[in-house]
Amino acid sequence: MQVKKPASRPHRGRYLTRGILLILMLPLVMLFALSVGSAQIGMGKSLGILFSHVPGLSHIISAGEFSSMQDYILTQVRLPRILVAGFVGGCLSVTGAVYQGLFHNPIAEPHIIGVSSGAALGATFAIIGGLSFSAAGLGAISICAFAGAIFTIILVAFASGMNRGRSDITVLLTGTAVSTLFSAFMSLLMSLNRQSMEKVYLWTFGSFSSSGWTKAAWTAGIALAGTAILFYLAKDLNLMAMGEDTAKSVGVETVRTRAILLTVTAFMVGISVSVSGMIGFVGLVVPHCMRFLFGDDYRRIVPASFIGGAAFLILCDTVARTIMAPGEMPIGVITALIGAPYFIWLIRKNSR
Amino acid sequence: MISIKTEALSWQPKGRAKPVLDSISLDFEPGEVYGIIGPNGSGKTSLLRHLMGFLPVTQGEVLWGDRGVSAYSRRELAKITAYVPQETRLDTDFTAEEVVFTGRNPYRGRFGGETAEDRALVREALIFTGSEKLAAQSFRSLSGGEAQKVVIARAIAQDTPWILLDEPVSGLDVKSEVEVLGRLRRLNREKNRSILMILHDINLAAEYCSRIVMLKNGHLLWTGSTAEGLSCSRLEALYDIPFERIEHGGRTFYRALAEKE
Repeated sequence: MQVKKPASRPHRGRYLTRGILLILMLPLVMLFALSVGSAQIGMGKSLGILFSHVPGLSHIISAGEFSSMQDYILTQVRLPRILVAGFVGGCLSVTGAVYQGLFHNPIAEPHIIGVSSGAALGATFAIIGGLSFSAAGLGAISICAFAGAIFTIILVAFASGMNRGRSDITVLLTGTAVSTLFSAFMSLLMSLNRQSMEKVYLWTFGSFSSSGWTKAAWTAGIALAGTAILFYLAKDLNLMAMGEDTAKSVGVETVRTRAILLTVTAFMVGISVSVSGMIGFVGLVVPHCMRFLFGDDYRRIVPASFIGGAAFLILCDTVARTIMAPGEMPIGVITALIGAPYFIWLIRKNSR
Repeated sequence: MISIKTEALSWQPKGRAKPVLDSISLDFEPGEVYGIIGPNGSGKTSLLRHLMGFLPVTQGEVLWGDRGVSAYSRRELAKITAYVPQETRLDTDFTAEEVVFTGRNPYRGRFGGETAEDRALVREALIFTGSEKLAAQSFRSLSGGEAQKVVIARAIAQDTPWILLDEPVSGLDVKSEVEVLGRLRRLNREKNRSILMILHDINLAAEYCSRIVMLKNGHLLWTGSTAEGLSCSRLEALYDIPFERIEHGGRTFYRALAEKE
């Protein structure tokens, strides 16, 4: 984005090498995350235990002796948690990358159009109201958060006139206003219900500790479908970087494209926030790193941000659950602790 | 070849006391170089944006051939006309050549690579605008004049019968100004592209445009052939200041005079 780049441009071949390295990194990160924790299982053994569940693969690596407890920890606790963290990381960073292009703003991130605050408000209602229903395998907090997210994008769309083709800056400003409004509501609710304050507050920090297979399935579905749609629209995003009018003049239906992009990303941010709370900085740091490695073409940025975001958040979550075991550090703290200094370094390095 | 037509085109944005465009009926015939001139706020850019379909037509009509502009998909219209804005800001780091390649977008699918035809047209457009040496440079590192030539190369590579330009030389130095306009004129003569542009400088309009459209306060004041119709009295009516006509080397120039003190 507006961060200055070195004058020399890497050859296309180098993008390919970097892409392959990035793709190879993801399973390694996942395997590492699987093997560490309060029960140390070891990478080889973890892989063996996993493979023992896959017909045809069980003979490749022998897990040796392992207890049903180890099996349970790997397949019912760590693996779904890693998958949720990975898909959420992918969603948040792809969304950040898309917003930075769509809003012509290098500091745009997934929370910018208010979807997250809508989700947070929904979650606050569920927590304070003590709601305990569940549907489709998701609990009340997740469902209310997701409903809040979707409600917000509809509200922002109508309030900003997005449905009538208004420009992206109106959407951005309306989103910020809605976000502020919802945060105020949230503070109000919290101050009126002090006994629930801590629970709400902790929820907003973000955590993957309650991830199970149902959450993993929901997140995976929305993350993969959403990223596929964003990838399909990547070329339009490239063209929209030249400005709205120019994009139209070379054949992009900008109004329709923007509506699709905002809807899809709202679902992606909505599901992410509802299963894990507010996790900041992933959507800002990862896309910018990917721009350094892969240039500005969205046909590379979208898949790269997805994989990079997944790996980053899996690593952060692994730190979050191991660094002060048996307690857990809120993941938002880790992403900010790693993200903020790195980001400052990145900007200093490139503004000289 | 397709012509562009407006029929009683009017536009009054909400909250405005006066219409920005007031019942404008115009015919733009293929093969010409049109220059739209007029004071600031006369509706030049609004007219162009209506022609391009960037602003929805609310009153009257804009026709490309015999179809209304809104009946075209963006992609269809992009095969008929290219567009050059006053200034292109890019917030991504694309090379000049990549920018020119975007002109081929209307003809290509989402994931299809560039064809030999695309490459040939892009090369040709870069050479035509004299920007082939800039091809590998980052678009954002180019000067205003260089960037404008690259954007015009994109319009050429788009391979459309029409090119519409919104003040293509404002903000350029004199050398870039004549280079850009000279290339547009060659494009009209050698490649039979029809050109419609907004210009601020009446002498550039007189020199490079075969036909002039004068807009004042949203009205069409006059339109006609440059050679026969441009005169001091018309310019005075357009800008409300006196002009003097200077003949030099077989050419006619117009100089605005300060109002009598």
